[in-house]
Amino acid sequence: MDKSGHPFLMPDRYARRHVVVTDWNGHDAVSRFLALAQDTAAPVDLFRLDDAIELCGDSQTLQMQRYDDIDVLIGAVITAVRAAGMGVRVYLVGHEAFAARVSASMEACGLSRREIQCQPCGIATLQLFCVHCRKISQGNGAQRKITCPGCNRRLEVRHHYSRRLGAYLAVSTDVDAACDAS
Amino acid sequence: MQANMLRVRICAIEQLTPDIKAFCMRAIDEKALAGFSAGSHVLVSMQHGERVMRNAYSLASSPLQLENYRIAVRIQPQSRGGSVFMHEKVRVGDSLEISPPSNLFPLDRTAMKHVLIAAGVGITPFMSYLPEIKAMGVGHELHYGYRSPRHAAFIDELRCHWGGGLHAYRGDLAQRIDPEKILDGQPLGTHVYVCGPRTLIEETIAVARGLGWPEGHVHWERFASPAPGAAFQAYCARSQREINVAAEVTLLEALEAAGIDVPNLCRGGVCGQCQTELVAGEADHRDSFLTDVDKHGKIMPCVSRARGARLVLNL
Repeated sequence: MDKSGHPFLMPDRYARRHVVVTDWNGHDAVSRFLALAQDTAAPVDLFRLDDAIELCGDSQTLQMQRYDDIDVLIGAVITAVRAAGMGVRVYLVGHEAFAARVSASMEACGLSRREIQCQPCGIATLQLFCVHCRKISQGNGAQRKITCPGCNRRLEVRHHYSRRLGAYLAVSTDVDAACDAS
Repeated sequence: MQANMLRVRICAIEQLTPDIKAFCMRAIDEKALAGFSAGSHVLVSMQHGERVMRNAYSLASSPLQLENYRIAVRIQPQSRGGSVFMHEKVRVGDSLEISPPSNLFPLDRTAMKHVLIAAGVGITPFMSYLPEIKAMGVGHELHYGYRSPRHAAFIDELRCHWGGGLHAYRGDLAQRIDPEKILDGQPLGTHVYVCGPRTLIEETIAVARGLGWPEGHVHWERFASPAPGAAFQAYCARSQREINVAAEVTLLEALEAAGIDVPNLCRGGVCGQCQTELVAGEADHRDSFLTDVDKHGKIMPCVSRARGARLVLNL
């Protein structure tokens, strides 16, 4: 387990291809995983969001692709998993909101939960879905109330999570007024 | 008659192959039959003198129409007689009692593609699948192995509805279903469903694992009908009743005949519904449900019997 109590990612020994997607700068999680993956027979594709420092590790033997735009990154990951077909496993290392968004895209492609592993890193960030204007914004795990950047309403973050959207639902703190207004 | 059993009348019987007959049935009061999802089965009660046998048969008709149900029965002379009864005693116009449908072999609603593998009479549950698969609008293919064209039940109907999606394997031409060839290269979100002998199911499961398919993507159904054995006694500790279990009767049937109702669903030792606490006596476990640990204090009465003369059950 890592310091926050999350189990470390373990490469699935039955996988035919490992696809790692990360927005995390730190060495531990991804490097550790790559070292373990070398013991499996399957090739590894590594996708990184951001242009941070080089990872330590044997990057010549991996396909590493970097993107600074999350939508383009997700598009590239979708292409890779579709090409791999059944037997692929996806490993997400990074901020929770990033992982949630990528995970939702993977499920939309047909991957099941058993084919996706997550290792959250960093401060807990969440995706929040405003039920009034439908905008998805980012919040941190400590915030119970936010102001929606889409419609400016004051929202309360609910416990209800949508896997399809990869986001928690956020509802106006004054629901009656919000409904009258819309 | 058990609560909520349905009474049906046989409206047509068709000899599909030398050993498989199809039975069409309608509700006896001409109302619509109970709705069902693809992959469901019904338990057919067969009264033979004083014995009541109940066998599970897959519904081989479309779930989109509820005017009649269709089942297909393969005759098995070495069994306890249920299939023999259906083939030799049941006539058009006869009435039978069936359970409402239950489903232990449904389609996965999140699948992007369904791959079906059937051998022999294992084709029956897949006859109900295609209308639902078409409604989902996802990719599909059917691989069907049979001994020879004479033994290919439903083949004309399948060719008509599946077209190029049907892959036939003739045993008489030494064509063999090869799970490796079928599963390799399938796209994301594919689920495979296999219905046939144990060897085919085990091979498919092993091949899928080797290709990296996660477990939830492999579904299987095996038609296991309980085999006869030696007669024995069963003592029900709570109701303080001694039950004789004759050689050709299952423990479950003997309990039911004595008025002791045990929940049940598949009557083939796979689903776990009839699990009963075994207090004393050595069981002859013939199920595919209990773990080795469980086998020390539990028994599945639908298929299992006694190793000695007597069992004591917590019933």
